[in-house]
Amino acid sequence: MAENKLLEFRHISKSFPGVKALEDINVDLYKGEVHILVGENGAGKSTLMKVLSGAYEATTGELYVEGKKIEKNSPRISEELGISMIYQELNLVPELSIASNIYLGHELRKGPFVDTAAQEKRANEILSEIGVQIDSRTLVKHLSIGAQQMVEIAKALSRNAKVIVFDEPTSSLTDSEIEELFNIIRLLKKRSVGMFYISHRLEELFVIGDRVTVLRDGRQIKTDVISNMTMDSVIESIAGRKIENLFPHTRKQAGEPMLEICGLTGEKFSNVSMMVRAGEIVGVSGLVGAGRSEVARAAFGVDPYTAGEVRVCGQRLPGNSPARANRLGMCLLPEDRKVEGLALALSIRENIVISSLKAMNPSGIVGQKKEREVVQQSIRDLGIATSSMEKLAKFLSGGTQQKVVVAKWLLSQSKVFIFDEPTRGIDVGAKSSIYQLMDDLVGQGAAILMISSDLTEILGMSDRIYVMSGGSVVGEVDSADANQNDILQMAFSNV
Amino acid sequence: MNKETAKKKMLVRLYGASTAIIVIVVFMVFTIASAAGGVNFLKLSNLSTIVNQASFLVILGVGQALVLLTGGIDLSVGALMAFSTVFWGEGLLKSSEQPFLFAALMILLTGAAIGLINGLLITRLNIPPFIATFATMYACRGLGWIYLRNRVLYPLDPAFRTIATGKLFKISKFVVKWPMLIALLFLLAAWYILCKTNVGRKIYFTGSNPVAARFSGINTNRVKVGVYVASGVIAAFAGLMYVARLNACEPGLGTDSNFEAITVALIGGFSMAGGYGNIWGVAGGALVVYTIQAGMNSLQMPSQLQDLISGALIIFAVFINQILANRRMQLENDLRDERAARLEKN
Repeated sequence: MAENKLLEFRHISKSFPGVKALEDINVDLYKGEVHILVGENGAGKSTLMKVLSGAYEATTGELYVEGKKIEKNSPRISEELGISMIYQELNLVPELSIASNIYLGHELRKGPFVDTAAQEKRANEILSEIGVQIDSRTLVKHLSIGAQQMVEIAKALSRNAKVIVFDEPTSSLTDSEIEELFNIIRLLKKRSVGMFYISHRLEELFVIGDRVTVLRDGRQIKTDVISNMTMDSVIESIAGRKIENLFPHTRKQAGEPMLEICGLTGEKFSNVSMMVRAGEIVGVSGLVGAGRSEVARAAFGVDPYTAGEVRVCGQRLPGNSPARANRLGMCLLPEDRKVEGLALALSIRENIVISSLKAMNPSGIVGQKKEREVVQQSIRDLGIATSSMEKLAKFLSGGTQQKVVVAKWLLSQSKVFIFDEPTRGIDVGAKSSIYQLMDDLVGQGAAILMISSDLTEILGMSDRIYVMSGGSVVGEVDSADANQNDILQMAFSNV
Repeated sequence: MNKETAKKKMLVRLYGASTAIIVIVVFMVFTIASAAGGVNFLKLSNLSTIVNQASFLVILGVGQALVLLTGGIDLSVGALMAFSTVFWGEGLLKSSEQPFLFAALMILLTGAAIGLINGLLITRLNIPPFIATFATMYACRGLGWIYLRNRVLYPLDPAFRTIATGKLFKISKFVVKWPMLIALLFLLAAWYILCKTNVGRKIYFTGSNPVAARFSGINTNRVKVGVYVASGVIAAFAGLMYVARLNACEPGLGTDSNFEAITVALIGGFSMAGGYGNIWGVAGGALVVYTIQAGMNSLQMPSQLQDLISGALIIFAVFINQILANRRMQLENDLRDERAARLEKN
């Protein structure tokens, strides 16, 4: 077995000023193995992988690659050792072809010139090896996210990668793309490539994983083969406590209609009608590209629409004005919290109060003391993990950032919430607290429209479900009589 | 507290004072250079002149800083100063029968109107700020020339000229003049609005992330139009000050003022990307810009060399400010975490 060992972390610790990010980690990886790393945001998964890629230097401990101790690591050295990283945010140049992307920085040459023909031929070979039937001359900008990921994998293979690290590869893929990715991973296993796989989607562990390591607060909680584990035991070791019921939602007495979308038509959707009553959580399911987020953005007024109308609490919205929608009590938790949700260079405090300025300070002058009290209260209520309310948003983990966005809207006294992928990239502990929060909200008479690609989440949290496909609503079901298959079938009906 | 923490705290303070440090360095350079020529640069009457002249730049810088904070830029300020004062200049003349206050008010309104045009071009027609204000800059300059042709309006009402030349009181040989007081009032007002009001919060948030600002229910178009109108009014006010100092209205006024205003704000620590900067930095920026001009004049350096040095200094200041801003954020964050970790331990 020892000769099959690709790499080994021995007693790795990493400290940042004031924080121990990793403490005595011992993890190894064998040829042809998929080793899954799970843990909450900030548990140390990414830090460990950055030690591997050479982006960080371990404070203490040793890294062995194929039995050899790596004295000094750097991104360059780790690449030469055959270690490739595939990040959630893909690193491709959209205006270049697949082949040029694969050989970017490692161009095949003929004399002083780039041998484009050879690159394209070789790229096509690699792509077909992993079962991807796309011409390598295609520009990357024309590819779906899933296909782009395949290009990243081909790029890794072109450099004879022995170890590939996948960082949340499936978070923006459709179900069929995920299946394709898993097939490629199985193929790579046969070719003895070792893989680290970071994911928050726990059901994937059991589909693709060989071994699992659970990290929590920088410590290694558990490493074991997958057959010794159950979903519950994994969740428990990730969270460090028992989570009895991930989906706490109970059906409430539905009241008056709070959000009515009638015949909304825009560039990427047509004649969409949806309605949410007070006390209801209504899910919107569908494939990526079905137009779900686009409807939400148009309804909130961020994007224009050409026909139809939106009513909040019976009042018609003028359209194209999030400020007006917000004044009537509507808010949107955007899909991309870093770009659309937060001012990263401002503090938690400034971010939380931004939508409540007028209500908190009717005179227009900020009451600094009251503001600090209010923010302190929301930090406590939502369990926002931070050393200070003055901490800048950019220094927070993904889950904490999402909580700050939620806190902002809670404070603004909104009554109609649109959650767009509320738990994407968020660990299970933060997930369960966001679900609890959603249930509390509707308990107090709010209405929630929840867009999600996670079917378990849709089924677990919604009272009713709209299914969208190809820009239209293709079905509406009561979650009590719905199952995953029906929803999927509808989601594919109009593609 | 350990040594490491103390060191970090000191660095944070040092980085926060980068503009002040540039001011001190520039003063030191000119003090030494002047001393070599037998002149005492630091004598009170000299300092008084520097602060007084820098006050004009402070006013320009405050307007530009507001625009920069939202991620925009206003190139039209110099031409706006010229056009608005030329157009209503008859009313400022000594020979005018109307009170000069009427003309002054109209000049400020004209500034607001041009600012409004800038704001609407940018928000309604989606023209990038650089292009929109670039165009109004040319248009205003052209209008000024067309309106006045080769004439120059002078002399101006002496009562009006007080805002640029009037003395308030003396501390030893340091003469406190009206422009200093006015500049201070502008700084105080801007500081109050930016740091103490809802509007200020919205300005910073819009500049820091315009998309998130819109998603947060801020009417970002209104914020942007607002700062361009403010910039227009402030520029028109600066125009009043400049013509009062010059004792004449002429269409060639302030050809360099837009660049001076931007330089002042950049050296003062504002970022072209928006959402970052402290208004008091403008005072430092203005002192640096004027000191270099005046200092080099007194050393009788050619103006081309002055331009060269100003250019080099902008690059240096922006580079320093940018790097230091990031380092400072990181250090402050580390310190906060450390403090929290210590509290938890105890």
